[in-house]
Amino acid sequence: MKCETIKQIIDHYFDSGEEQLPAGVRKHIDACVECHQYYKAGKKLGDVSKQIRRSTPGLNDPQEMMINIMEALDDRSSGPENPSKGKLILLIQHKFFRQIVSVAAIALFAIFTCEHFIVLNRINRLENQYVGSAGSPNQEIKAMKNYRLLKILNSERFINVSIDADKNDFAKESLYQFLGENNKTNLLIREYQHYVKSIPAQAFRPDAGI
Amino acid sequence: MQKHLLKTIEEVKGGNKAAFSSLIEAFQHKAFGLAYKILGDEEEAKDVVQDSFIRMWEKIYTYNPNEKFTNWMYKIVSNRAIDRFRAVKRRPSVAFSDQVMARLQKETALNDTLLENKELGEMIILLTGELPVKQKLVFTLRDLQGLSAGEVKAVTGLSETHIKSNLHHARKSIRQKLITILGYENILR
Repeated sequence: MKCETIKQIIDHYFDSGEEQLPAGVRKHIDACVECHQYYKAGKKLGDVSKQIRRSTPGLNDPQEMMINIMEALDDRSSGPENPSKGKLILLIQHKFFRQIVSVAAIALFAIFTCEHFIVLNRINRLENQYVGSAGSPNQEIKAMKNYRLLKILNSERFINVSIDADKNDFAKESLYQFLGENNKTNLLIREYQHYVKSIPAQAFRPDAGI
Repeated sequence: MQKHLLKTIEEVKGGNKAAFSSLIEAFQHKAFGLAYKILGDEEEAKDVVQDSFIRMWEKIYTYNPNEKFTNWMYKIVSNRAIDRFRAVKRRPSVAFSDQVMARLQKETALNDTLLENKELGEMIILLTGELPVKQKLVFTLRDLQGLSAGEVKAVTGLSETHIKSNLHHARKSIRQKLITILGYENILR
C-alpha cells in the first residue's frame, strides 16, 4: 500500500476510535519511518487532548465571578423574561411542531405551484384560442367568458401570470389584442388595469379607447 | 441530582436570585473551561462566562427540561465565546497567526528540551484559533471538552455527518500544524 493510503487509514483509525489498526497497516507503520511518525503524531494529539480534558485551568476566584454576575443582575433589576412568551418559544422549538410546519410549507408550495401551472396553461389555451379565431365573434365571446371566469377565480394570481407574459412579445401582443380591440371588454380592461400596474402604459395601444 | 436541578431552575424562573447563585456555583467551572478552550485567554473567558450567566438568567424560560442543562449552557457559552473570538481576531493589532507563532517560538525557546504535554496542550488550544469556526467549535467540544457526539450535536445543531467531517478536518489540520511547527522530534518523545 502507498503511504497516502496508510495515512488515510490512520486518520480513520483516530476518528472512529477503533481498537486496533489492521495487521497489514501495522506492518507498514513498523517498516516506514514517515508513516510511523504520522501515526505517533496522531496518538500524541489524542493523548494531549485527553489531558486537556482532565486538567483545564479552573477559575482562580470563583467567588469574585459570582459577585460580578449578581451585581450585574442587581443593576438590571428585572427577572427572567416573560414566562408565557417562553411557552410559545418552547412550542416553536418542539420537534413535532417544526415537523408540522415543514410539511405544511411543502404542501402549500405544491398547491400553489400546481395552481400556477393550471392558470398558465389555461391562459395559453385562451391566447391560442383567440389568435386562432380572429374575427370570429362567437369564439371571441367564448374567450372573454373564459377570461372573466379565470379572473374571478384567480384575480391576483392571474395578474401575476399576465405580468410574466408581458416579457413575451407574442403573449403581450395577444393580451393587447384581446384587451384593446374589443369594445365589449372595456369594463374588463378597467378592472384589469387596476391590478396590472406594473405593465408599462405603452404596452396598450393609445387609441384603444381605454 | 436532576430533580434537584429542575427544582432550582423552576425557582430561577420565578426570579429567585439565591437559586440562580447556586446554579452559578455548580456550573461556572464547566462554563469557564469551555470558554477558555475556545478563546485561549483567561480574562476573555471570564468575561464570556459572566455574559453567559446573565444571558441564562434572562433566557431561563427557553430551557427545555427534557434537554440536558449543560448542553443548554454550553450552547450559550459557545455562542458567546465564538462571537468574542471573532471580535478578538478582527482586532487590527497583531495578526492572530503571528500571535500563535510568537507564543510557539517562546514555548519552544528551550531548544532541545522536549515539550511537556501541558505546553503542547496550550499550543493545541492556540492552534484551534487557526481553524474555521465550525471545525474549531466541534473539535473543542468533542476532543477538548470531552462531550459525546450526541451532546456536540445538541450544542451545535449540526448534523452527525457535519460533525464527523468537521472533526476529521480539524484533527488533521492540527496534527499537520503541530508536525510542521515542532518537528517530529519534539512530538515523539
